Amino acid sequence: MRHRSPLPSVFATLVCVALMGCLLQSACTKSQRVDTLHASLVSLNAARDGFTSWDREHQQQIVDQATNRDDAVKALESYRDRRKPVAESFEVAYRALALAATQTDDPSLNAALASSRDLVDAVKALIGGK
Amino acid sequence: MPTTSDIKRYLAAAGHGLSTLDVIAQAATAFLGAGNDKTVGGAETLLHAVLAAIKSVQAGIDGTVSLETVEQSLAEFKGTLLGNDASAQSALDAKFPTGPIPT
Repeated sequence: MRHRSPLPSVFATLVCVALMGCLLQSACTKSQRVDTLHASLVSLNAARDGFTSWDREHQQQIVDQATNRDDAVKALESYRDRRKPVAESFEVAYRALALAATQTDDPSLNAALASSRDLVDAVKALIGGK
Repeated sequence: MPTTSDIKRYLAAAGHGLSTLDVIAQAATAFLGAGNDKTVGGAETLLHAVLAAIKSVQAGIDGTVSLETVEQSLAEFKGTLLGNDASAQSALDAKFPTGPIPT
């Protein structure tokens, strides 16, 4: 059983706006690198906060819609299994950003930006955003 | 409701390193954090969210990214997910209480 919140489409849109915005800045000079990293962290945190808000409401919805305890437990477990790739993508994105923050090379920055793209895909896959 | 002039005034007051992306990202946070969607609140709510974001920037955001700040952000993410799971469990227990465990 698939539960849908009214938030997914607007959430996905805002996440994409926030994250893709920083991806557009990928052609960086050295001085732009710091700005890009900062923008990426702000965007990532915004996506994080948006996602965790949605996650809290979505889990509440699952409980609200369940007609018995067993169904609720199974639905929550199923949702959390599907949530794992998103949580891992956030972790990868943060780790990549941390690496880029401590290096000065282009590959580390590009890896951080690429992980943000992967995160967008993972979030969209979970919440069904366009 | 804040006007365009209000926002311009706040932007001018912020004065430093405030990118459009900062505003959008933080507005998205505030907007979603308040549980809004595009059918509720509309432009007025979003404008308030933008204002809140600008005020947040005014309050001061460190412009540098360090290993510590990234690690802290990640820790907050994991902690919030655990908190969400605990909240869902509490809601579950409240809706479907389990009986006393047989001894």
